[in-house]
Amino acid sequence: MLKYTLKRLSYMVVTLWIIATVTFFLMHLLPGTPLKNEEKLPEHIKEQIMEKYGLNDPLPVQYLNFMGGLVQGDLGASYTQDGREVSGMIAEGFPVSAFIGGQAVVFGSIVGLLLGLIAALKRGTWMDNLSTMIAVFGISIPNFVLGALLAYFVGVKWGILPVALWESYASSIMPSFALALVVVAIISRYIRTEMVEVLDAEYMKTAKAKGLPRRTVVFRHALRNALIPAITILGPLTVNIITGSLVIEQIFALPGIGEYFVKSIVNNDYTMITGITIFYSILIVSVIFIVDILYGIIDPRIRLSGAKE
Amino acid sequence: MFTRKFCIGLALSIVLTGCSFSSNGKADIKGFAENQTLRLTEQKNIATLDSVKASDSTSMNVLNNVQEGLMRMGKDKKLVNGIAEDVETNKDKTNYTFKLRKDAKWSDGTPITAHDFAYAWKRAINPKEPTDYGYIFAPIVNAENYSNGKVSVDKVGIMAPNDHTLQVKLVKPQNNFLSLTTLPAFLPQKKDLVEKAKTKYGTVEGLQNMVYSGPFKVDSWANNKVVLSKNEEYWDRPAVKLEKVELYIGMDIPTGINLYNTDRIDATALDQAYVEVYKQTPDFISVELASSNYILLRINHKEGEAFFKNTNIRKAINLAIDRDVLANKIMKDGSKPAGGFVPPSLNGVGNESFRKHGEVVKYDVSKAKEYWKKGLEELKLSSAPEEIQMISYNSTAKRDMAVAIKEQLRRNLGLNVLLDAPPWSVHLQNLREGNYQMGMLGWGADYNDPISFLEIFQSDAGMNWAGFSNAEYDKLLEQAKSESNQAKQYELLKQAEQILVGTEGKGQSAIIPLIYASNAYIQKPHVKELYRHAYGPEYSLKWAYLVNE
Repeated sequence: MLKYTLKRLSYMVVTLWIIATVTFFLMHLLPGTPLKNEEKLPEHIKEQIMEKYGLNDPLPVQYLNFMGGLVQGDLGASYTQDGREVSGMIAEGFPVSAFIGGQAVVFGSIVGLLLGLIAALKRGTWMDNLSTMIAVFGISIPNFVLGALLAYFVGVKWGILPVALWESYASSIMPSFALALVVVAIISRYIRTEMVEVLDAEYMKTAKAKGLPRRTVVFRHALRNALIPAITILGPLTVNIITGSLVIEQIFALPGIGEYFVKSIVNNDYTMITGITIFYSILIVSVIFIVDILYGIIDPRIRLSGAKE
Repeated sequence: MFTRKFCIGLALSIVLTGCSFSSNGKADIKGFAENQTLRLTEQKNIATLDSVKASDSTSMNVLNNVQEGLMRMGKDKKLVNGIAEDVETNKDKTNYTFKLRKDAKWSDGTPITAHDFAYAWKRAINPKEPTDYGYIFAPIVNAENYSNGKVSVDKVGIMAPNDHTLQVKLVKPQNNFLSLTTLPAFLPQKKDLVEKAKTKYGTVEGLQNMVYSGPFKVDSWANNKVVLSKNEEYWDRPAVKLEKVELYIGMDIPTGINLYNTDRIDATALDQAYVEVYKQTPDFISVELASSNYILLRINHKEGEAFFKNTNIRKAINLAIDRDVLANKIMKDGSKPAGGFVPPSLNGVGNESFRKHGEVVKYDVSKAKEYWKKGLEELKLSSAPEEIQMISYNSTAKRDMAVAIKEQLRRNLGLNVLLDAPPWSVHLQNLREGNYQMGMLGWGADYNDPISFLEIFQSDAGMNWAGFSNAEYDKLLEQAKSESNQAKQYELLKQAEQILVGTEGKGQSAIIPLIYASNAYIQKPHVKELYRHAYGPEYSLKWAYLVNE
């Protein structure tokens, strides 16, 4: 198991290096510069500023400087927010995005699991149909439409929850709910499909024939097997949701990191582009790693084949 | 020696607010609200609170209210005294001597001195630390040479002979130099604090070590919310009535409107999607900006043919555009149809609008068709070229404006314009490199001076991306720049503008003016005396207060 873990870790490092390198070169292909007030800057001052930030150096030199900083854990200072460390900006915004997203994932997974289970156990009934309907809505209604509708009706019209801003726990409910719907939809569909398959399997008949109580059959034997695909998808889904959604954060004026993903590219904020990409990659790679370990716990067969490699 | 005395800021501010008040500043105001907390929004984040580096709107707006320079912008474009209580100029307006008030203090209680100004100004043009707004010091003797590393810092025409006197020497007479001193780049800074904080100066991390010279100070800045409170050390504190200001930054317009409708904020910006809804309400405010939108035509560039090199073609385009539609049917925010380049919010003589003499070009389809025909004949073309492209903005309203222009040119001249709306940085790059035929662009003034508009089309100006070159135009502007008599200067500039955008006489139609821009807001009627400005920082909160409805 240790050898397996170490091997996976070294893969992670190589993956991150490749991502950082590709991002660095791709972003320098973007037209334009990260300078502000650009339309008014006289040419010679523009040159001076480019020189100061080392943007006039040959690209390989810039790459080495960038990598040198990265190895020491230095993501550099943002171009759009003078002198502010990119790491500081991510550190300030991430807890907000993570809280909203985490809450959405927990809520979405629990509801999704229940809906999926009910649908599978009550196949063909109105409950199954209702669960399918919720899933279709969840997949097809974009979160920003739901977010804007919630903000208008629940926030402005009925005044039940705060319409925007990050001030109390109540501020997190609508944005989390808007993000959770897609989680509900995906998880419930996966669970239902897998459960239906597992419930028809031969060993289910054996378990029932042994006279095991229905609860044990469903939860110990069926659900455990049905969870594996859901967990696979849950990892990346969680990362996507906790790193923030630009639109949801804008609609509810939340100080998360969602906006950096888009605005850094529009503004050619090089350090922020690389910083946010690397941060996101580390999360994704770590989650994939954790999911791999989780497999082993849920399904010992995976652990064994992993160890043999 | 010509001396001009400015009335003391405090006295003027009483006139401006239109009500008298006793020492606590609120006794005589009818319905003065108990809770003086104003809540506003800003669409963008703060880039920096280092006044020397600030170049974005939100940073400049906050700085304008927490710091104070020599002069401050008051109501209706009137300058009021800030830290300077008196200013003397010589007859040809090349030497300015500012007398600083002795009771001016930083928020930590230490005095604000002329050295704080000299330090900050010289820091803004330091060749080792180039800044976005350093070029604005160019009128000062040797400022440009120092920022290019040609002379040493002691040659720059900024001197502080004692704690309360600041002397500034200008290269040329400058009628509007005082307007410049209201800008954030001209704010004072405390040397020891800046040097101690190093790169953290003006950032969130360096906030505890900031001091303030203005009506407010920054209490906190985190999670897209900035809280300001009244600065009790401010020299004119009786005039400041707000106790607290909450500023929600990075706010989208629809979200701002939701918050406004649930009474969580007191004012917010509108865009074209909402203007119509609020235009008839008492909450609607339109603020005229010192900003014009126009089409840049590629006149002279080394490579490729230049369709727009032909003057008659340019005149035809200029006459074929109905600006009324653009301003009143599309922008709808109070923007005005532009028949000139210099917007009406800039002054010509004294406090009179530059546009007092009216517009230069008017919509005239039949004349446009004549010029178009003549132009095509001169170019030996039987019909309009098919591949004329216009780079337009990628924001909704201005893109709609581009579509309307395309339709007008098709209908009036039979010219089919292809539209392209790339991201802003690409838009700029294409125009700068001459990689365009028609390009939409805007120009805004930072201070009250029409020269700052017209000079960008002088032959050797860095911003002259059209490649326009006209000897008479250059000469008129050079004359205007060294003219210390405002009335004569105004005449010269009027003639120059006629050449730049005119279709008659010497008119070259080098650029095609579209609209004079405005911003639209909604603001609760209980907010009083919040002054919004046409140029420089967008608003001043010094005199603002809230009343009970």
